[in-house]
Amino acid sequence: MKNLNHPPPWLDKFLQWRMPEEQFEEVQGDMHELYGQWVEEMGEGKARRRYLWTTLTFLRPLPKAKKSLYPTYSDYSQANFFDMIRNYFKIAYRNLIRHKSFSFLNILGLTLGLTACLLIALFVRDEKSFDTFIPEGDRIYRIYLQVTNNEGTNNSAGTPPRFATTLPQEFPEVEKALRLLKLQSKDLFEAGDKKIYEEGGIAVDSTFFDFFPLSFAYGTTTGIFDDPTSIIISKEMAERYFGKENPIGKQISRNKTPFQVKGVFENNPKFHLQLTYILPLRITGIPQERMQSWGWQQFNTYVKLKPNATISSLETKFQDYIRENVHPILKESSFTYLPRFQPLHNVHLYSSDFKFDNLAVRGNITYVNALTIIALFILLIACFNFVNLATAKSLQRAKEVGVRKTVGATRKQLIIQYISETVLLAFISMSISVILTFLIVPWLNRFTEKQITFDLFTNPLLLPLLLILTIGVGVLAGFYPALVLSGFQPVKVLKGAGMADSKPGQIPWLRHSLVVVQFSLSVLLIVSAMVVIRQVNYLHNKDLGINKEQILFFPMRGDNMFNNYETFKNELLKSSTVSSVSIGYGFPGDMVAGDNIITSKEGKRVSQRAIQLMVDHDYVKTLDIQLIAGRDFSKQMSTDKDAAYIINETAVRELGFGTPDNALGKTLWWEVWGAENSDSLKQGQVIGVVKDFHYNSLYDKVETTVLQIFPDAYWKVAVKLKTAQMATALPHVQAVWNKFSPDYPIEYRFLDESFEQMYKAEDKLKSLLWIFTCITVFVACLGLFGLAAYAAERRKKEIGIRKVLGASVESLVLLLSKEFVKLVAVALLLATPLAWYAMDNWLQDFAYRIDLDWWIFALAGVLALLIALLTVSFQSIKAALMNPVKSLRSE
Amino acid sequence: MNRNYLGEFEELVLLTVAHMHGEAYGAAITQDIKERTGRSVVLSAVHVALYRLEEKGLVSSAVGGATAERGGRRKRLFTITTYGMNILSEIRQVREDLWQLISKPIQPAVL
Repeated sequence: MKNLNHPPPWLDKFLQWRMPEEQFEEVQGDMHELYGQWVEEMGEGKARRRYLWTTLTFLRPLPKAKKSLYPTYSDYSQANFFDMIRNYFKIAYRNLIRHKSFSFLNILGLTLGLTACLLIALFVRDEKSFDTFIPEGDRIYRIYLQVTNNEGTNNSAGTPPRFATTLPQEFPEVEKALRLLKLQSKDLFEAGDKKIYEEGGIAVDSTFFDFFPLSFAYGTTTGIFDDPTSIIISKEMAERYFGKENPIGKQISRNKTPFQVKGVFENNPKFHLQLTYILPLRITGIPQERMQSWGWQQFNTYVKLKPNATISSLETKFQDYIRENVHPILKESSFTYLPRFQPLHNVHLYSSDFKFDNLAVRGNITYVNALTIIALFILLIACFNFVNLATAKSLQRAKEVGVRKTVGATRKQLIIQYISETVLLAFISMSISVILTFLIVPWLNRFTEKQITFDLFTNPLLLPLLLILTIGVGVLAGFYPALVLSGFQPVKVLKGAGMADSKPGQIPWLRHSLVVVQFSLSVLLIVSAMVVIRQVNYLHNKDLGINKEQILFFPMRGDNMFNNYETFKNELLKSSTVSSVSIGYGFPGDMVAGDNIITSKEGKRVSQRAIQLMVDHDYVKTLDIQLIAGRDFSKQMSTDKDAAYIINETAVRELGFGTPDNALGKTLWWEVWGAENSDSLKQGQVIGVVKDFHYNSLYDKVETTVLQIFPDAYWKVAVKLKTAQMATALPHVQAVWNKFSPDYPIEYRFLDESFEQMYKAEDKLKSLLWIFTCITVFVACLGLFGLAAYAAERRKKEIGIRKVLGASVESLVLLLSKEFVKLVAVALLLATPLAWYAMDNWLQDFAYRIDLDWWIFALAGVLALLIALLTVSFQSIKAALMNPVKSLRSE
Repeated sequence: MNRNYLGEFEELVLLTVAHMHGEAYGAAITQDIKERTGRSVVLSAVHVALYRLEEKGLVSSAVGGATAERGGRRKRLFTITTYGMNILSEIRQVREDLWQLISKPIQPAVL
């Protein structure tokens, strides 16, 4: 006991911080005493460790020291705190029940906002998580080209086959490279008695699975690329042919060539490639010298870098290499390019403007960002709303605040009380939103063709995130009302005099600016929705220069049909239901071939870009294209077959012929496709000029177009049916088909359908904007409604006096509504330039677009004003109709 | 709740307080229990037990003098209350009764 060793003082400090003063003294005394004994017993080191351990065990709460007879101040504060929280919730609950309509509006607004937010967040998360499952994905890059030709510079995902062989050889940074070739046509697959056309097949280098290790349902990747008869198919495809059984080793034929199924892979919905089947690249039989080409851009090329390589230096080096070695080769052609590298994770979202990228599942970062902003806006508006409604309601609770303050509530306590009320509301809204989201997600999946799951219970991050969001929204929405409420002067409110901003002439700028912001956003969205709807309608209804109704469209199949296309055509025409038939390549809504045409300028031959439509004598007639000069191809003129061209108006301009009539008889040359001799030119005269007609979506301009007769390229058939005879026409076409190609099933569609298909994304955008505009306007109206209610409440006495003095109801309504009309007008002024800018930007993507007429903005403004007036007048009429006795009686 | 209920450790602490006759405080009780039972007791556990016993009214406490080895800190001395004594004897009675029942030679279980 003589040892007076001192234990570490910082531990004492720690104890002192932990414990009430009273307990600390005795505990520390005990500890010191024990410490002295421990040092004697086991030495200082051990004693110190023991001391530390004992201190830590005091972290658990000790029961209270004995109760003194008279409760101290701290006893009160402790006991009251929890009781108060309970009381807060009780009061909040009572308020909710008492003001049912107000609570309903609040919860409705917040729920709408939160639900929209949740759904958009799920969508955005899904869009942003593409390709994240691929291991070492941060080292994988896709190469795209910046192609420059006489029309400007475009990005293109198509790359030459030579890239993949050159890169790993010449650049040590590159670990491996991969080529993908999309198999363009729909191919006929047969297994057992199943015959189906499949698309979405690719031919790949053997490195494919090193880049993208897809998971396999059956089989493996080993040896797939050694055996030229092996094929790997997707699970969906396997089920189409083999049902649920294991298809490994089974035979399946592609275009009559037999293959053996070696593996069944599972498509990952988060993978930018959704595939049906995979073949080794050499199956395509592309000759070696063609694979050495620097100009043929039909492959997608991916590279994987070595771990420490940097992409920017590689990009510069590779571009220099291309400038030095490839640009001289390309001198003769009408284009040149520079390669760029794109991180794998950007492929999905940042390629929306790429050409030749129809293999990848593409999103659009602009839409994703716009949606994110809209989601935040809606949430913000909903919060603003709450602020407005709650502040309006605060007058009715002024007495409560007065009483609380008189009894001794501090301002901090009041703020906590009111914020906890909004947090409670936010919780109710969030719960409803979560349920709604669960219900809406399946619909969202159908709409977006995605497989989004709302993994609330399986994702450990989501629940805490939602909790934080809820509390955040509650605090954000509740802070200002809480500040206002807690600022009431008890004496004034209890006397019945003081209202929050009853100082004459003072404008409640915060609430007003909230309404302005809300309405600006609403106007912005109304304008956007109107513009998008008009543009989409325009896309669907614009006169394309062809008659696309009642045209049946299908590709020819089988040698017999290709060889005897004339007979096939005549057989089709035999029925009275068919009015005309055209066979060719390059029909509207289908693929068209880009190529060159050669004209003679000042004695020199000049090659220019032109779309080549390979047609027959009935093309113009079948599609109802208008001739503006010259004549159509005619069977009577034997030269039409080999030496005649029809061009469109754009071609007249671009080729420098001046007027359509002037163009007639001009000579053109064309490099014949697939000719033995590469210099073989077809020479012919322009015999006719047609009005410009659209063969692509309205995103693209009508280009210089040349129509000519070229049977070698005949591939597709368009059958014009007579009105209202679909039911008899289809069996006839089917019967004729079966006569020529019984081995192949026919696969037809209607021409107008393919045009509808082109604008699917825009159709979706249209419906989305509709929904969001409605939500935003609705939620904004809730806010305005609250503000009007507040104003009416505040000016109750004024209205009473005015009425007593003889004011009419109309003049009172006008008086009360005037203020809000002003706010909406300001909102209009703010929103119009923004909306103009945003929509003008969006429309730039379309080659053919509507004008941004001033009346769209005017209409949106009038609409917003009307909606606002309607909302406000509900309150102002109510206030104006009130019996003045009621408001003036008590003073 | 049965007012007589005492945890095993609480009972041990209460007994210790009883036999120390007014000289019982945290550190002393900790040492005493350690010497008697050989089990290593954490100080905070003793404190928790003491306060809980006080809450139940089984012990009462007063702040006592300071000694040098305590760094000049005062100790809280615990004494057992009459009620505490009663509880202890009640528990003892129950145990005695039970022992009576098995005081006949204990038959080891036959395997």
